[in-house]
Amino acid sequence: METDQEVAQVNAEMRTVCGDIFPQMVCEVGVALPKGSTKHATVLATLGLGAADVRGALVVMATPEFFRSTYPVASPLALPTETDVLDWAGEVANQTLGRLNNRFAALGCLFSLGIPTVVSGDDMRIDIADDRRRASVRGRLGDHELLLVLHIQRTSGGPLFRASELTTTVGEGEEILF
Amino acid sequence: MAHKILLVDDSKTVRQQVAVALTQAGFTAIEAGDGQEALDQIAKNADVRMIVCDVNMPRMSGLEFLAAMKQAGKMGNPPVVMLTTEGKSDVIAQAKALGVRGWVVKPFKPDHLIAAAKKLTGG
Repeated sequence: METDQEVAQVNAEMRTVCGDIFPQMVCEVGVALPKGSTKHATVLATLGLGAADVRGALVVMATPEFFRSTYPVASPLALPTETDVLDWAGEVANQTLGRLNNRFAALGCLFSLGIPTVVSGDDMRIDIADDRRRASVRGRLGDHELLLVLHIQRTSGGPLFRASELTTTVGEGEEILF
Repeated sequence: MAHKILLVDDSKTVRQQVAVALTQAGFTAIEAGDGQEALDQIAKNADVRMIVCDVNMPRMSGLEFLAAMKQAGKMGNPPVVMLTTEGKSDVIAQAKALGVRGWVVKPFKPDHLIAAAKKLTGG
């Protein structure tokens, strides 16, 4: 992202995607990153993206309670385990960047996703080398918060979205049988 | 007898979500965490009637799995439906050329997936 306009556009896309995944979530875009490291239990999922001249990464950060409370497989017998929580955090990153991937393709920016990496701990911090080139969303769901940070840029410079890369996509939830 | 469906996704959460939907509809679900595990499961379970497969997975991706199935002459039997966040038309065309029978973009609607499973398994 080279301009404020691009950052605003990506922030808006992230807000939309965040609301699609968590419909009850109240989202705020362009938020500041937490100063210093967390002093409480935190789960952090990262997922890289890349193409010939695009690179970046998404970071998803929340407490284990957030992922436990939003875990999508209901079981009356057991709460999600720590392994379930980490897996779900990775899937939130995957579904967030997957949706952004489709939306960006329709706007003219193509890239492929990596595989999520998830870590947990109680003393974590997000550092971005060039803080101007990132989009961010903070979502609130009840007592819990979710922070999404996306860094994406053209390594060749120039606009992020290009008419030459406009691509049609299949919508979320749609199915095609051949 | 319940038709057996193989679920291939590196996320246990997604496998559980899909398994719950399909078993409630009368199917039996077995699981694999990537394309290589899926090939192993197919070798051990000759009665698999359909495969639901993610695209983006470690070790062996969904498209690599399709290519391996095609090379082994097994593509189409059992039929494969992709369940993924990936929605770009060129990737779908690539999978279609490899013989995939369906494409569902996450988040999936259980009713749609069950309808597709019934149609493709004859059950």
